[in-house]
Amino acid sequence: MKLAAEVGIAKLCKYQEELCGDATCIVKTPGETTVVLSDGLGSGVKANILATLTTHIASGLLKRKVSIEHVMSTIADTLPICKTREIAYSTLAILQISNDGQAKLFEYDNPETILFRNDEPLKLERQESLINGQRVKQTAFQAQEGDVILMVSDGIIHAGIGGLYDLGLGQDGLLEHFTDPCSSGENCEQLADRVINLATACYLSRPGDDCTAVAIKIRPPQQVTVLTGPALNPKNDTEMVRQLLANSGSYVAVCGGTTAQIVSRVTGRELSTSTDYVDPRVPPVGNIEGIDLTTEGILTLNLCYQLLREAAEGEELPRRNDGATLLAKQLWNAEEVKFLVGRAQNAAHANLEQLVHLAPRAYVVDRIAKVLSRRNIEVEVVYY
Amino acid sequence: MRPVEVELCAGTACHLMGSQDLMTLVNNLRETHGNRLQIKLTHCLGDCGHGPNARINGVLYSKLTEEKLEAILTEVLTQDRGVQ
Repeated sequence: MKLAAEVGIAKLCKYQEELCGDATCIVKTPGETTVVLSDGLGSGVKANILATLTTHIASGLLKRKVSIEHVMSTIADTLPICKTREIAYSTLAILQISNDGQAKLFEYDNPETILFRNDEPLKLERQESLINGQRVKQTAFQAQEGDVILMVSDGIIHAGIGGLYDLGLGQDGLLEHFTDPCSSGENCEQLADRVINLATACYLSRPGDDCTAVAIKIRPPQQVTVLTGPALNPKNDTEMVRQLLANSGSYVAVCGGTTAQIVSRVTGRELSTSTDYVDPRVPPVGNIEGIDLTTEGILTLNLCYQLLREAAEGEELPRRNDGATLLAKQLWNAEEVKFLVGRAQNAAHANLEQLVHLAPRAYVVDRIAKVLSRRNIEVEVVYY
Repeated sequence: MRPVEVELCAGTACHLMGSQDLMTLVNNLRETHGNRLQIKLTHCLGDCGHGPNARINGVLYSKLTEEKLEAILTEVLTQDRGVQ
């Protein structure tokens, strides 16, 4: 059975620092998802530079299909060592999960990654080897649907040191307080947030070190279906809506006011609209029973495209609940995306699109499809 | 007294023409008039070329400004007060 790895990341900067000295990156190649976590020595700008360099080198090699073993040995071999403290200038943990569930994990001076199955931590047997005089631990395991994997930087393990806890939270403390990760129903971001909130509490809101939590959930591949725009021929409305709802396991989104009214009419379900302007750039979301996300059309799609472009350049998607961000998150984390695009044009929009430099619907969907394809997401666009 | 139904259009064109400002106005008026104002947002009222639009007690109003909307609502609320 095909599996996919969904990743959520949460970070906390050391007290009075502006930059986090930890860095992460996620590399999706056909058949694999690889997560890289690095903790730079010290904190602030210097640590951030060290960690960012490490993750960038790792991700660059991984994108060129260099094996994880070679990536690990290359970095461990070339990472400079602090002469005073005799430790590497950054730590490194790399987890690679194939779409058949085969997982490989390498850890270089990083707290041990924890695998949760049915809410219980599973013991992973690690082998140690020496690279450039530094201990590298590695293990392999078979991930299963429902597993949650937690990677943390040492700021989490040392949370509360000298305060709430003499020796810090420790892995035992983390396991004691981080319960039910598999069955709680939380998404990856929420799980990672929970770990960061725990660390914040241990530090009494004055973190003594940078902290990063990465939560990975193993799940079946997710398909997202997006319907946007009325069909050129109104007789095709019913077929468009039928296609939208054809796959019962798919996350279903409707983008467009008129489109939403069509879905409401064809399904016989009421359309309501929130009054909450989360982001002034896009109208509030709507609601139709059985539709996971209902948004406005062209403004939302244009902002969604901007967010996806930024994510493709390494920026994290924002933590907002406006329609564009919600849509971008679903698309970014999907394995398959299907766009159903109606070609009918609203004449009133043509002038506005030019005035405010908005890309027309079909064009922006095409752009979004290209960004997603470069992330190795299967994309199909059907026009009506 | 029956409540006054206010549906503001939050479709693309109306949003760009300032429907969020109309929403802020109506929310402020609700603090004075309470449950007499029933406020809803809709995704499209159809007159996209003449927004921002609103439908008040089933009647469509176009090319609204905050001043115009306030005047219309004041009139409707006053008329309703006189209805037995």
